[in-house]
Amino acid sequence: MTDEILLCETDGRGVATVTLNRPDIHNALNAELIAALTETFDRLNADDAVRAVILTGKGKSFSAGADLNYMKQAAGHSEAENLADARNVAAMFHTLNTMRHPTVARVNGAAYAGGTGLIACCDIAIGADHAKFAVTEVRIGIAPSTISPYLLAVMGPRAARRYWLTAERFGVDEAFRYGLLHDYAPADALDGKVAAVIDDLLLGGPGAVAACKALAQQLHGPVTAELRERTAAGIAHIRATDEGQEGLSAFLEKRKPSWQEEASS
Amino acid sequence: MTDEPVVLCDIDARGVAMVTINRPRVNNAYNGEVVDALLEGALALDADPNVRLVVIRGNGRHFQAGADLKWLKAVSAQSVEENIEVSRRTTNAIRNLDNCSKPTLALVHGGCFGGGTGIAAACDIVIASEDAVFSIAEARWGVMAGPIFPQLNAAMGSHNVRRYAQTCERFTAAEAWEMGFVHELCPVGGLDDAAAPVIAAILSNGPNAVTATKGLIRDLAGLEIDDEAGESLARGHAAKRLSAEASEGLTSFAEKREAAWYPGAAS
Repeated sequence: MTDEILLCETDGRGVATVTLNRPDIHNALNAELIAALTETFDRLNADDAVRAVILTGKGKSFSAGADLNYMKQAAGHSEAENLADARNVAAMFHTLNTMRHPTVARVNGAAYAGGTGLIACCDIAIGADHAKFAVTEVRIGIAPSTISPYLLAVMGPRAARRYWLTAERFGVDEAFRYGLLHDYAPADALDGKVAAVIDDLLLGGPGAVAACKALAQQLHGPVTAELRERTAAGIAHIRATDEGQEGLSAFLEKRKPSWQEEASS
Repeated sequence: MTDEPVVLCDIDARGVAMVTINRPRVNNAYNGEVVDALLEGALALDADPNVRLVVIRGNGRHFQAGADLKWLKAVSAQSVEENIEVSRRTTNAIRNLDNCSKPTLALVHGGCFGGGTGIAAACDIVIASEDAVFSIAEARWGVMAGPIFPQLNAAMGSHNVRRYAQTCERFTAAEAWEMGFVHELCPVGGLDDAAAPVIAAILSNGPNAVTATKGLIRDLAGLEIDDEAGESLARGHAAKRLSAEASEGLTSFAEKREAAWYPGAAS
């Protein structure tokens, strides 16, 4: 059943391609897709035949973050239910981030909120030049939380202080300048760029490549279990605040949240 | 009349606080009065529930030319304790701005030197017009930019600080943009137009969510300067100002000559 929303294929070289497959809703994340991602990343991590993993989205977008129904469910959750859910989300990002095989995000289109988190958890990110990015959480009265350690490590505090606070959209040029993307190309040249980088990854000794990855993460400061728990608790809490509830209700009711009405008066 | 406030502050109906450094005749150079106004101002705006975001800019031809070196020379003639207190207030003015729980936006044009670079680095967002020029100029006068180094390291990357704080070379708005210090460039005179959509974007967001987000970034990135670290920066700053080298540097500025340590250009 999971292969309906998530596809995974491994070729003869050991290159696995994981494809988010909800193109009609911009590959938005829900509880089921998050569970499928965790399970797939775990399985690939345990597979010695796998040499590299490509993560991409089907259709126009890479991933638009949480989906509408998922947010509706969250709106009805207690803080404890929110915490359980947030822990699953934090575990999924952690599993991707610490996969021993090298990972490449093939960013075929827009990535928002959790979608930017998926990119940040991959070792290498290459985008199609029409892709747009935004860390949109504050628009609905919440803070980027479970993705924040990964995204901060990639973008740095300077870019985070602008784009997390404003939730502005930015294009591939800014994503490239701030390190969210390593490279970008016109859509029809994207696969060529990805193929070249996969080729380079396959030239390295598999054990050495894995050791490099582990070393880079260790030296930079690992995302510890304690930090993951703190970010999960953070999102569960802020969702339950008045502002978080108002933001979510406004989004679901397709109206402006109270703070925007104030702002435009 | 010269009793116009050295720092102006207007808060509009949307909750946008516009802070303007207002000593245009001396290129907005800071003295004790400016430091105090920034120190108190950042705290007051942070505490004001009507304020949603803070914009900071300079009146006249420049953003901010760094310390008023005449004032600095006078300070260096005072007691050790007085020097430490001045450095403490300078350090805390930048810390308060950096710590402000509301989003902060610096609009930079013309010269942005010394402490001016610290103000920009302490803000969340920096937009600069193409005429902006930067330098971390302290070492040229035998003094040290200590209190602003934590913010500069975070904003420019320590490798850039290692170059520009030691050479005191000027760098352009485009170079500052390339290193990520400046988020966005605009044409000369275009700061307001460039800032408008960024301000609108912030006002679209949940105020508490924005504050939580900023707090999280500061926390995860280890940007907090605690009191002990602040005190140590202030004492180092004061001690350097009281050195014989600083005395020579500040005198060379006043006398418009090269400092004694300069061996002359390579022949």
